[in-house]
Amino acid sequence: MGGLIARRLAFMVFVIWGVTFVTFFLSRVVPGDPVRLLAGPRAGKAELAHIRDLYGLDEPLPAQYRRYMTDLLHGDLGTSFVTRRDVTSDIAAFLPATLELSGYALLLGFVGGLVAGSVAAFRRGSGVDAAGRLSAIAGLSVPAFWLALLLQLLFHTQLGWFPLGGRLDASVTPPPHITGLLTIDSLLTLNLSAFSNALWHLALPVVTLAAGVYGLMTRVVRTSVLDVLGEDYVRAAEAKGLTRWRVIRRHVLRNGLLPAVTILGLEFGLLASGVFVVEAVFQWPGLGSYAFNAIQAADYNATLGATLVIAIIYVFTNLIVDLGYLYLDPRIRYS
Amino acid sequence: MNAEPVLSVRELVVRFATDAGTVHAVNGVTFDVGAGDAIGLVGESGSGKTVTSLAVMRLLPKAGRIVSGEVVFRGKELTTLSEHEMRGLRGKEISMVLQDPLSSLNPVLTIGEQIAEAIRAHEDVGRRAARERAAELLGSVGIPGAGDQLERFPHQFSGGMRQRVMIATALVLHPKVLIADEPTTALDVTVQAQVLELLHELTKELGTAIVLISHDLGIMARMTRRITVMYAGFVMESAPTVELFARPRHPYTVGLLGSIPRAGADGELRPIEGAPPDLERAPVGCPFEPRCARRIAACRETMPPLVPAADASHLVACHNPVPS
Repeated sequence: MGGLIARRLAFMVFVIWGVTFVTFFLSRVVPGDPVRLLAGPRAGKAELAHIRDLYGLDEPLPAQYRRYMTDLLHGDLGTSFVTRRDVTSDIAAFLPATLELSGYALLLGFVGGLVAGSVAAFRRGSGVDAAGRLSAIAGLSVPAFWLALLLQLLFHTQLGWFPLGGRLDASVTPPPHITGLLTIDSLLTLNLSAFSNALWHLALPVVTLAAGVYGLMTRVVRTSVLDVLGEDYVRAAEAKGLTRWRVIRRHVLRNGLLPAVTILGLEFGLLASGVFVVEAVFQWPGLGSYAFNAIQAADYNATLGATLVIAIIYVFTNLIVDLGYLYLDPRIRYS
Repeated sequence: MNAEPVLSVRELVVRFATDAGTVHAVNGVTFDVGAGDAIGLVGESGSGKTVTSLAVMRLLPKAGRIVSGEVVFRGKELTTLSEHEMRGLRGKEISMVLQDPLSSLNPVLTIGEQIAEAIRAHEDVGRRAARERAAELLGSVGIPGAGDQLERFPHQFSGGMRQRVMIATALVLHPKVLIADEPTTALDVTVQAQVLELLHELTKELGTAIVLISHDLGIMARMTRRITVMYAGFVMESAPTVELFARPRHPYTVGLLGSIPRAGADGELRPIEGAPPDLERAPVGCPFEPRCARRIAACRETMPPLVPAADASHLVACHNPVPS
């Protein structure tokens, strides 16, 4: 067990190094010159050369990469060309908004998919099953940007039920920064009006982001619960005289939900890619928006920093998911 | 047979609604089990043995339905019982051992949890008391170090041990009837004998009647006092075990006995020609007719009734039975 974790950690370091390597060189080859953007249209040759020298951009790429990695090992992600601040403090400022958004989206998609998938399996062939399957396909196949616009059009423009974007209304005083998650911070300070306002702003982006997770979950859970329902041990449990609910809970769901845990890692991937689009459409001041703007401005350090943080989160959650699976399935634990 | 059967199945008819049409799985099966008795249901795969046992437990898959007939357990008609009442009987009064011990234990629950839940489904006992009884029980089915074994998971047990666990679980509440569906088919031959011996001893000790389902006539000969031969959902012949082996009257039974390999016998193995009929067609006449060497004109028209052959305990459903 300890050996397994050590091996996984070593592998993670390798993956994260790979991400920095690819992102570093990729961001340099895409068109766009940060120096020109920084200096403005009227800057002369000498000014451009000065800025290039200031940021070390006149050095050869391998030297730049070496310097970047050395700084990285000291916990320094460099300075953003656009915000002129440390990328580390930028990320600290933008990350909580993303964590809040994707946390709720994951929760909604995961729980929604669990319920829909199990109910569809238990009522196989019924109208409920058909509705579950249809909604799963829709959730998986509708592009996030389109769903986002559709929800904005219907629930903001037409019905006026939800705000167009942002985390809080301008008129609402944000709660003091404790965790950075507005719903948690407002609850901790018993600021119920800020809490409800934050939830109200979360609704549409969370639904948009949750759709893909919900679709994948529903399909996986439905298939796996159907498989388990046909297993002999379910029949054996019924033959013991257990109540139907007990059979479902202890035998069907315990086993049927194992694959759902496996794909949890995959769903983080879905979220991480969806979050860029959703944050852009809903003007959500999160890491996705930050990275989006950084890429557009060829802000190398900011792009790299944001990508690195997302990669680290992704790799860590996958490790946690694998360890959780180890706990849930004794066949793996003891082999 | 005892005067008062503990379980009595009368003219049971079970059908399945499938996309391809109706499957006539069981077509009027009748048998009795006396208290503490041991009877066998024998037949090829698809002959309706397992469906019959699931119908008795009222655990048929969704598509299956008991169309007519009675299942009487100690004077109580089971086919009309509420699901709640039926659940009270399952595992407590009538229990079941399934064919494949590898798949009939839940892989993510410990052995102890799975035995204890059978006790706790029917008796208001605490977790600890249930565990103690589970440990005791494992000891009684010959699993050494029973206390520690409770914490282990099914995949850490061999096939024979798992089937011992299943038998222990099925008998933990001292049921009146145990239905064992091919309990040793998935096991090694050497383990088979031990498991059968265990089954025999325990049921005898507890006075549990056993309905043994198998296609293996050798097991039947050792374990049962009476055998009911099934084919395509019909009862073909029913007789005391000794009588059936000595004087089979139905051509199908004769065929079954002829297809057992016997050491030292010089005769050739004689398989029954042909294959069992398509159960999706409504049965007309005797289902064995196309494969039968003794068929006569009447066999195509009507299914013969199950009537006494030589004496009242030997029943046969045949227009042209083999002379004794």
